[in-house]
Amino acid sequence: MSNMNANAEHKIDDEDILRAELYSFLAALLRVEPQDNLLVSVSQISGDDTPIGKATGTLSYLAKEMDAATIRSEYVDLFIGVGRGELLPYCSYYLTGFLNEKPLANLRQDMASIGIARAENVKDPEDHIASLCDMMAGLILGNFGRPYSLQEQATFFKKHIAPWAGLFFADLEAAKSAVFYAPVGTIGRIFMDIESQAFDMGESR
Amino acid sequence: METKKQGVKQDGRRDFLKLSALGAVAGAVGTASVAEASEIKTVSSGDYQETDHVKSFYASARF
Repeated sequence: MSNMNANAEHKIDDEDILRAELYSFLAALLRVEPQDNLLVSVSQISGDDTPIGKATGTLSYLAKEMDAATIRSEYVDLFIGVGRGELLPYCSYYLTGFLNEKPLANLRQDMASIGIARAENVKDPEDHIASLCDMMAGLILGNFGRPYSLQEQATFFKKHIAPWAGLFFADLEAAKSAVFYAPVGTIGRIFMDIESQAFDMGESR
Repeated sequence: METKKQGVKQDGRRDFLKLSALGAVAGAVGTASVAEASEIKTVSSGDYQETDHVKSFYASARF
């Protein structure tokens, strides 16, 4: 696995590995209806007294108590729906009011220069929140050829994620159909805020 | 001096991330969720792949 090699050559801080894992966690919950194995692992998280830990505790409890089919149909109501779901988790939609607009084109340009593309089986446009979370995780861990510097991560984040993701997660938190996904929205909203603040601390000049 | 200053800022960032307790979520689920397939793959040549989907997007978008 080439990912492993990249990690071994370049020491990545523990905090950054946690960031990448949290991005991957959000991506896993948001990309498709969550499958049983994901829900089982979510049900085993304990959480703690921090705001993000409390939301995680709630999520874990819901993963245990709710019927998996109910959670999956909640996902459909939120993101797929009949015609459309309650929310449209795309950068382009949040920034312009339309899908497939200029923000998607800008993202595709940046993806091309990083050397990445959407996997063949994925039909969603690349500016879906789950894809963007996957991209951040990949940039941090060095899955795309090399680990990207904090500065490069910050540039990508500020261009494609910061302008809308906090708003999207807040919408998810408050969505009519959201029960299981409400704490996912909380975790995402807090995490986006932490990321913005941390990037500002990390910028050297 | 510049690097030293940068080092201090980096430490500040690390401490901030530690305090924000991402581990409450991430550490616990890490391996389980990361094992799921990412939606993103590297393009071997580094070139952008003009799939049919992308072509039809460009055709419809008319930038």
